[in-house]
Amino acid sequence: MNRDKALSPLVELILELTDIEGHAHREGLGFGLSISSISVDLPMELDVYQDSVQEEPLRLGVGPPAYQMETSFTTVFHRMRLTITPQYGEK
Amino acid sequence: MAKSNNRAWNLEAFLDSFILELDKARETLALKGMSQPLTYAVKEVSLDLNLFPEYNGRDVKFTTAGPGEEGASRISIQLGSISDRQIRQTTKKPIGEDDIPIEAIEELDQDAKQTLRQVGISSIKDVEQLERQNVKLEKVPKIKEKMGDYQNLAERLKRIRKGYLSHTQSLKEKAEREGLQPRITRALLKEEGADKVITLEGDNLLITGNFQARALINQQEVEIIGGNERHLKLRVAAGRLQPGGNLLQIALDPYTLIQLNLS
Repeated sequence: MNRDKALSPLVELILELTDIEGHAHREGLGFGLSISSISVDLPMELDVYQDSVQEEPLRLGVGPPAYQMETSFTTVFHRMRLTITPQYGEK
Repeated sequence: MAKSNNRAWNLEAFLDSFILELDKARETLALKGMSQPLTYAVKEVSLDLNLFPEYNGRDVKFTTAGPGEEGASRISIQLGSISDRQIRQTTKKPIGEDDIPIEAIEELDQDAKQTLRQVGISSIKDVEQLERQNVKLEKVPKIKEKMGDYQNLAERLKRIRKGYLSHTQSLKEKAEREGLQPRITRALLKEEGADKVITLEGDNLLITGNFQARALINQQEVEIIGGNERHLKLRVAAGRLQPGGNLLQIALDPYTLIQLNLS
C-alpha cells in the first residue's frame, strides 16, 4: 500500500520535537532557567499503511494539519500529547 | 489534506508499530545523550484516535477515520515510561526451541487457537504448566464452551510437542551426520574359527550412540560385533561369502547407508 508522502514517520516528528539545546539563560546575568518538562498537545493527521508484504509491520505516517483553510469536507484530526523531559548525560 | 489509505488494522499491530517508532526515537536520543550533556526525551505519550471499529465475529479491527467521515469512535491510548526491570517482570519469556506456539499447530482451527490465546495459552508448554498447577483444560468454562469437540486436549497437545521434539532431534542428528560423511579407507578379512571377521577402517563410521547399526551381505543380515567412529567389525558365518563379488550394505544410522562390493 502506498504511503501518504505528505506525512512523515512518527520517529522523525519526535526527534524534531526533542531537538532542543541547552538551558534558557543569558550570558552574564548570573542565573538562568532550566526546562523541567515540555508538554506538546497537537492535532495530527495519521496514515496507517502497510508495504506490499502483508507480514510487514504497520507503518505510521503522522504530521501536523497541512491546511488551515475550511473546505467542503473536514479533515479528521487525531490528537497526540507528548511529555518531554530533560536527560542529563555524563559530560 | 492527507490522502486516505484506509485499511483495517488490529490494535496490537498498531501498538507494536507505534512503540517501535518510539523505541527508534529513544535509541537515537540515547546515542545523542552520549555526546551531549543535556538532551530531551519523551516520557509520556497519549493518543486520541478517531476510528471506526469493525467486528467480524473473531477480531476487532479499526479503520482510521478519513476526511469527511463523521461519527467515528474515539480511542485514547496512554503510554508511560517503564523500566527494563518492570518489562522483565511483566513479560512472558519468548517461546523456546523446545516448544510450539499455538499458532503453529495445524490440528487446531482458528477459533480454537483464539480461545486458547484468550485464556493466556500461547504455547504447548503453557498447557503443561497449567497441568502442573492442577488445572484441567477441558474444565475451563471458556474452553469447554468453545472447544468441546477437542477431547483430551491437553494430552493431544503434549503428544504433538513430543512428536515435534523427536522430529527436531532427528533433523539435528541428520544435519550433524551431513557434516560428518563416513569414509572407508581399508577393509580387512580375517578368519576366526569357522567364521570370518571383516574389519572396516575409516572415519565417521558409528557416530550416533542411540542407533543399532545393521549390516547385510548379499541381502542377508550379518552380526556387527563392534565398532566406533574409526572402525567397524562384522562376523560373517562360513559360506556366506561368495567367490567373485559380495555386496555389503551397512546402515550406520537412520540417515547413512553405505554400500561396498567386496571381492
